[in-house]
Amino acid sequence: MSPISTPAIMLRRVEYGDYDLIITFFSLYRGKISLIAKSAKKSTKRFSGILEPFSVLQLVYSVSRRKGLPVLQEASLIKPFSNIRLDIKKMAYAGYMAELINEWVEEKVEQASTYALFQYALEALDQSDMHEDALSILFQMRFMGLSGFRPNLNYCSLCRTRTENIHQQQIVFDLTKGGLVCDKCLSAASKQISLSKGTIKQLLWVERGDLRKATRIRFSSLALQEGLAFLEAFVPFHLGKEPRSLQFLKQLRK
Amino acid sequence: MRYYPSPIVNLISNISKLPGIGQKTAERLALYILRAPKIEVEQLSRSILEVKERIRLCSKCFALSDKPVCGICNDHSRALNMVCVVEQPADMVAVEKSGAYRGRYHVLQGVLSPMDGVGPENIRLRELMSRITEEKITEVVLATSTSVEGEATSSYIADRLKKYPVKITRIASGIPMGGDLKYVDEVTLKRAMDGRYAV
Ligand SMILES: [Zn+2]
Ligand SMILES: [Zn+2]
Repeated sequence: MSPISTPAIMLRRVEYGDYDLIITFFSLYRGKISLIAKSAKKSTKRFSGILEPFSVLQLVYSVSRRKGLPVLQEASLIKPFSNIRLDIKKMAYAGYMAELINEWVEEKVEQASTYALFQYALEALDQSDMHEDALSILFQMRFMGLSGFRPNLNYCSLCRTRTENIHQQQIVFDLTKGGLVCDKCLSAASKQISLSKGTIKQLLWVERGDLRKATRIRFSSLALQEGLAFLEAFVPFHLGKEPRSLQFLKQLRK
Repeated sequence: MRYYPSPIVNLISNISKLPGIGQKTAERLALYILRAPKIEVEQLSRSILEVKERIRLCSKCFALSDKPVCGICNDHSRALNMVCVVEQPADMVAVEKSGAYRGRYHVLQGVLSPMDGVGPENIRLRELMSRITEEKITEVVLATSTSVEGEATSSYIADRLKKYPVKITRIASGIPMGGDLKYVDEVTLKRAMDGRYAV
């Protein structure tokens, strides 16, 4: 088969034997793919130090007819995002995004919007275009939407009253229902998180607004705090486990 | 395999668990052991057990050691006020082999890695900070690797050490000796250019 060429961002890298690496990439044209990079551990000539997390690379790889992983033939650097690697907090956020993609995205299915979102978020992290917490909120809201797990913030999940017609300042989000529940419908439901109306408005905005203008949004500190707490409970709830990079982030914040 | 008596089969299967050793090599090694003089085989098996029983981590620097405090930490001819921070014991050995450094070490026993859930509490960082005060360290040399994780770990440690009266240095990185510029990646080349010096 002829080699495949695609831009891609590294998600994960594991050592394979003494010389090789198995690398999982999120690629623009083929979605999530795992490739073997032969001699990548030893030889500095072949892939000279560019097989590092979060860089945007141009890959060329070949799929063999026999079973076994596709083999990485060439990699060249498009965007190194070198500021991310000098800042542990940026790296933690990038790691969290990469882990969500790695855990959630189906293999070998092209997902151009998710790719664009990931590259956008890495770029913004690298350039410090946006507060890291705000960027993380933006990424999680959009990523969940693209993955088919959009949180319902528009109306009460039970009585369907629209959020703007619910006359409370704080509204409960019920994780098991995947949406808001107004006070009238509220029972002793479990796993509840309280969101203020202002936060809900901003969450909806980052989910739908124009990505190119996203750096202009200014979150209030309450919205940052509520939004992060909400998403960092909502995302693991749907993933069925707490991502390791989220545990790392929490350690870092202490 | 089944043509061999079971003690040999067991030996082959245990040897083949070692990294980089396949079935064929394991068979060859097992037959060598079978033919070797008994005393040689006893030495081999004793040294394997000894490694497991006697090697521990130095209580000061966390390097591999056969005593509570390792030879380097006990060597008073070395610079006592300087500590070189590395990720793994093997990195320490690499720096030692270079002969370029005559201070003490601190082995982190890992590197910060968000995706593996390895955070600041999971590496020997708190111990490093207490050593700085206790041992009156005046210079910390950060010698973690130049991988994304190694770089981020270095910058995190540098940040955490700001409040101490120590000089913090990071080992330089750039073009390898005998390296051909056209094979050097952009990141390394940029780093080398940033770190250029007057001659
Ligand atoms: Zn309701
Ligand atoms: Zn020691």
